[in-house]
Amino acid sequence: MLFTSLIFLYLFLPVTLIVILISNPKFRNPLLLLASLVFYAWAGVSFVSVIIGSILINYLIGLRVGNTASPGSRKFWFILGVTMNILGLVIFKYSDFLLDNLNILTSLFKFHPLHLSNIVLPLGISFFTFRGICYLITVKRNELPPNKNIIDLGLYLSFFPALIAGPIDRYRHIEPQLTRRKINATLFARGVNRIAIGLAKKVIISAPLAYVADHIFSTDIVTINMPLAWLGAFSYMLQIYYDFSGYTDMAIGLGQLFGFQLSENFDFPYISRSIQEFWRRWHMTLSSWLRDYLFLPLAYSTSRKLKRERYIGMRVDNMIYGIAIMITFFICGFWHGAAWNYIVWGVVFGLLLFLEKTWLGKKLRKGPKVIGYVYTLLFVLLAWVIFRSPNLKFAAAFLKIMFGIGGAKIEWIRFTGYADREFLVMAIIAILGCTKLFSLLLQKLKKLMSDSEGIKAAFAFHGYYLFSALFIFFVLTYSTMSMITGTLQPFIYFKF
Amino acid sequence: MKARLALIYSLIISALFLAWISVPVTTKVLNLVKTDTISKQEKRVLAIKPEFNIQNPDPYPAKYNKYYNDHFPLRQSLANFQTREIRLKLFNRPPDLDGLYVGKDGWLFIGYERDLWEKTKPYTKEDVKLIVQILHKRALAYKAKGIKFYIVAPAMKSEIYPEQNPPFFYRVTDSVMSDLVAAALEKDTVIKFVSGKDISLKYKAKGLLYQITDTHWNDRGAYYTYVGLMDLIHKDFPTVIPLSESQFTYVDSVNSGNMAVQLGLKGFYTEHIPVLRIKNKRAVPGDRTGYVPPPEFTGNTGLEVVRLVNDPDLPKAIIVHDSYGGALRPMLSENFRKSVFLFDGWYYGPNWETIDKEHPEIVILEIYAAHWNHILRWK
Repeated sequence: MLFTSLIFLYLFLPVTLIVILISNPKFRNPLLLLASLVFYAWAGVSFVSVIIGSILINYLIGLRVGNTASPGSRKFWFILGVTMNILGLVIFKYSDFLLDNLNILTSLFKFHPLHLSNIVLPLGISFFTFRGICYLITVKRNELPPNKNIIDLGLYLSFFPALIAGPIDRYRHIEPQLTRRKINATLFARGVNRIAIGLAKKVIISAPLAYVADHIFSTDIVTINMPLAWLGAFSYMLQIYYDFSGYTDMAIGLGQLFGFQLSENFDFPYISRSIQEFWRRWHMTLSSWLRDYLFLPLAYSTSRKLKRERYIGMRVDNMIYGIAIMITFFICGFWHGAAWNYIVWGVVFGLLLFLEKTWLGKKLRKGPKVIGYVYTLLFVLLAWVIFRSPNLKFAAAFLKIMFGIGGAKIEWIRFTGYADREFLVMAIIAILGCTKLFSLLLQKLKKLMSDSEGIKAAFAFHGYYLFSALFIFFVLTYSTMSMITGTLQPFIYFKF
Repeated sequence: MKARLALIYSLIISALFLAWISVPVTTKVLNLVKTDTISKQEKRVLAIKPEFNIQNPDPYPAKYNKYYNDHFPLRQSLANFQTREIRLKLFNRPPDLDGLYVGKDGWLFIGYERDLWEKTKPYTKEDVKLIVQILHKRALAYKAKGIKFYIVAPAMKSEIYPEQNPPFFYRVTDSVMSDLVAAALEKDTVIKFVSGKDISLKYKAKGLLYQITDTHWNDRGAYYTYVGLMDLIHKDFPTVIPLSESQFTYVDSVNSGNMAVQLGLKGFYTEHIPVLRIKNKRAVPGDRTGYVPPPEFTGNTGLEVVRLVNDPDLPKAIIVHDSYGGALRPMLSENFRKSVFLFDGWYYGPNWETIDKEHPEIVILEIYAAHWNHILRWK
């Protein structure tokens, strides 16, 4: 069930909200867990067993890790728990990919290929697996005791607003909210506002950009020319940001409706001056998860093994950083999808980060700001091409075309065909939205509301709320109409 | 005071939001809005409420989604309002629907023509050979019964007006799949083939040949191809002479095409369509032969049309056609002593039963150039 579907917005959400709002607070968590399982079941009823299995495993192993005194035993249970989480992910998400590649290798030795019956990827498995591992690490590090209430833990792992696309909240951030949260009008209204922002980003802004990107990336590569390739890459760059951040806005807003404060996931990533800064601003809950639970432990364990000051002419700290960052971003890429283009996408970022750490970073900091912005945007854009392409071959050809190597004859009429009025309007709004312009305007308005007095302040105050209300209902109406239009399926053979 | 007011605003926004999203559930529970079982605009049956099957629960959500979407209150009105009042006025562009694309200047196209342009789907080069073989075999079978077999293929709109195509309709090579079939048929010694594409391209400058907002050609487009077909038949049957342009009057009709209707743009996307009226019509309706349509069309008597002309020198013809044949029908009817028009639900079959009953001298297969793959079912 997508947040941008009629059934979610006009059936699941109102029913769940009304039930939660009228229920006794002590029943809210069980009811929310039930709602989350129904939400999950909508993607495939049989998948519910996967998430229930994950809840049970993390609950039982978490108790073992937390309640065992012996460090060896704790370590054993912890490793078992993490392994089981990862194993679930490997089986459901990566087995086909691994087997395909194994078959390619074994075919060199004339072995018969192995086959698996079709394994369907359960919804959100990457996200709840990372939340499960986060919970076990939190307990292992004694940051919090294991949760004795399986309902509460289940809700942390499967809370429907964050189930499909995050944010990947830390257990220590959510745990207090599981037992001590309140639903109030201010938070609820803020949530409504955030949902509207998310809907606007996803349905109004992202959709026309996706239209262009989807068509260009699904076209036969021989039909793509240089302007189209840049247009496709640019559209996708904006689309993925508005799509993903819009979805996250909705997740955060939905959380607020139920009294939860989920973590922020984006902080204007396209105004970064380096790749390092980009990853501090893009999918923040994932990058901080990877930093704390993968990069830092890897760097720490590598540093214990490397005793010399230099290795192959490189300073040991750079060497440690290089190894840890490459592994981290290899896994980051692989986490995004079981295909080589995701891995290469991750590795490219790993390399860029290594370059910035060892050489480029200083130059970027010292140079004019604009160079940092252009460098970051260019490499992020090129990396998105690898990410969006159906395979590496397509990505390589597409990138070549972008730089004038090969490609179809340039016909501007095709370019202008895509870049129509709707696209241009939305692209301009999208570009402005990538900067802090709207955010600064809002801050100014809020400052005016709080600082000034008299008619000016009253005007700003009432204007703000009335505008908010109008914005919310415009977005709801427009998005609903767009969702409906998406359900129309004309039968084209009727005139005979 | 401000905090109190802010709280009141928050309460109002929250309550309004909750009320807003609850409207469809409320209307459903209270049965306030009746929804149809058929969408007249989409020309399809709407999804029915699925039964939950504990033995096989997985398909249920998707089926329920479809049912819920299809029966959303005011579904069609809201979609049409957005298309007409927002998208068209703000962006001068209706939305693309499933399988229906918007080209330049409001020209509408069927999506699957793109596949043929890209030469990837729905059939392969091997299929092309097979299609021609099937038709060749059919022509031989007809020949054995003394029947001449003619094939006429109206071109895809996107082929005749590529300048109006959506930007993603892009020709990979010089020829599309339908061109390969046409080229092979032209070489065939038994089949007599008329390429609607060649004719339409030749007469394109004479005026608009296709409808901008419809999947089909207009009467003018149909007329030129009709003349091409009749010229070919005339070689075998000298009494068959195509109607000349002077035998028609042109009537200007302002209408919305089928695709405009499906987009909810009836009356908004209109176009001037040249309608041909035959001045001295000879053909009159005749009794149906008892043609049995394919199972999915059982009971639809409109799939067979019979026309008679009181001229024993003219041959008898059976015309198997699709929706493009609608515009050809009045013209063709004038050239045969008996014309039996069969719309066989895009099967494009040999229709032996009718042929054995009627013993025609001519069989014409009219097949829209994007549908050659339908012939493969006869392999």
